[in-house]
Amino acid sequence: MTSAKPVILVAEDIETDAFILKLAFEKAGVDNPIVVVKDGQEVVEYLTGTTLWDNRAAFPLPGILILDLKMPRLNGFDVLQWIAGRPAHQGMPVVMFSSSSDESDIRRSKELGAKDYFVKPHDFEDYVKFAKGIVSRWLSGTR
Amino acid sequence: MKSSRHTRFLFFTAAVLLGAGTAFTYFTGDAAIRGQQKMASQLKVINRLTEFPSLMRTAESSERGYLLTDEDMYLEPYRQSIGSIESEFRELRKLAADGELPSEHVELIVALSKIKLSELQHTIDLRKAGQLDEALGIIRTNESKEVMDRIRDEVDTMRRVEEHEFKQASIAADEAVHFRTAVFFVVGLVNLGFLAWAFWRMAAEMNRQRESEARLRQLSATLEKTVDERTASLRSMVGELQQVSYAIAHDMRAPLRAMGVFAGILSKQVEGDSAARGNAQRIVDAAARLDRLILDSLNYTKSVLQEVPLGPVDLDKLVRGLIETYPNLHAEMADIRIDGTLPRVVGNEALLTQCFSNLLANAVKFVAQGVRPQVRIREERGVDRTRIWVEDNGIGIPTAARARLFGMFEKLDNQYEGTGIGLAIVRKVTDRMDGRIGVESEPGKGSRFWVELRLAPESDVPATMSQSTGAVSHP
Repeated sequence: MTSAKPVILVAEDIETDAFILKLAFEKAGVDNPIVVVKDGQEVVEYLTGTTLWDNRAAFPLPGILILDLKMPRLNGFDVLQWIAGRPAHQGMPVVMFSSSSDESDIRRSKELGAKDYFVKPHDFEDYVKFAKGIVSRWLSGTR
Repeated sequence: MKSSRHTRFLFFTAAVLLGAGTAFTYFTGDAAIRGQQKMASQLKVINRLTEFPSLMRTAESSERGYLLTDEDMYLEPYRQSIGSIESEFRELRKLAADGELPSEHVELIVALSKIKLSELQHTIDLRKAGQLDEALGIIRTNESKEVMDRIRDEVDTMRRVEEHEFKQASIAADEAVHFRTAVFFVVGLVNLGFLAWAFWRMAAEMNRQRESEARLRQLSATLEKTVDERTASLRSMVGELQQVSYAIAHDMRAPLRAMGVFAGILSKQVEGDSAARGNAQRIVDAAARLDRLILDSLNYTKSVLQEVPLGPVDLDKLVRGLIETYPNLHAEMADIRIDGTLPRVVGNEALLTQCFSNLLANAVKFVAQGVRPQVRIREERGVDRTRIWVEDNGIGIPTAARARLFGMFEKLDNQYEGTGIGLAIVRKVTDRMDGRIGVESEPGKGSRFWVELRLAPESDVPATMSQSTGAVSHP
């Protein structure tokens, strides 16, 4: 049990979107460490502690995963399926954060285990609200 | 068709052959039978001719017996013979009349026999009178013997002639029988041969038919296979197009989002400078418009390319759900009322959602300044189709514009936000549900859009509506 703030793992392939999100968390006053990976494959590597992240001390397991849908190599659905097969990571909430507002994408994510689904906003203020919401909903308890 | 004429010809010929053969056999058989009948009657004649002399002799020997013994008992056979001989005369004459025997010869024999008979009677009478010697004297004459001999010879001759004819007739009858048997076999063989030939022809015909049927089936199977292959390839092409259009839309929206967000941030950062703020805001607005345009185009493409399964849909539940879901349709923003209960129609839930959300959004959007939108939704039911009217109190549509109304990127009024794709989508999706769409409108007097759809049959269970939960919708 560490008293350090839990890591927020963000999977986002578009740099600009990742930048905006980080900015939003900053504006929201969130000081949890934020790690951005750029596709599903890197999510898996982080969670298994391999390649660039094979240092558990430096890269602890995240308190939440903010997951984009459309990513190269492994996409959001692939990651959800991978996690579903691994009880070790069942405790970590996964929240979808995607540009798609498709009913079927929303439904499928929920079916595969995502706790919530958010559509990427167009207004910065809404990004900040989202960031605050994440922390208050998922990261306020002790880990 | 050649084969049915052919078949008729074969059966007709078979019938003719059979008929002819049967007739032929019958007539030759008939001839044979008649030949035999003739023989039988000839035999009777011969027997008669053989009998006659013995009758005469019997008469003579009874006469002799009486002369010798003077016993009455000899007169019995005599009288009987006379009786028989008399009837023989009649028979012989009849045969002569029928042409069976030569009449002069018959007359001669009858005449001679009568002479002999009267002689016999005479001698008997003499004896009865006790004049035996005179009676014997008559017997002893050559004349008596000659007459008898003559009778015998004539009869013999006639009989021999008859026997000869009989033999001829017999041969002829045999031949007739053989002929008839031969004819019978030949006719039988001919008929069987013909049947065999006809059967062979018909079998060949049926083979040919079977072959062409098999070929047809093969061609049909090949055709089906080709069609299946083409359909599969078309499907995969459509799938690829869909994926491409979706990927393009997705990739375009990402930088657009960045533009909007950063312009928004910029706008906040230059709060003091109203001109700069205005400029930044314009960037935000333009980015938002472009994003909507991309989304609408994507929707349109989807409505064209997507596979659309049709089934019964509860329109009432769907429309009421829409009104609840979209904030711009809520009670604070607009008065939307539904007359009665909307029916169950044949369609696709997603497409119907598209269609009515676009129509309703338009209805509440295109109102004059300061006017509260009022929308009335009602049903006009037909036999197996129904019209759903969406009537508004908006600004209306000029007649000239009606033709372009449902076209792509057609905006009639630049004062109001919109991409000009909404109604094109509505038209497309109603098309794909085998429906129709139309409008009645006058400028300043509102518009009345109607959507015509197939009514769902009573017995079907309506498809359940999916609930969208948890998505944060951002305008």
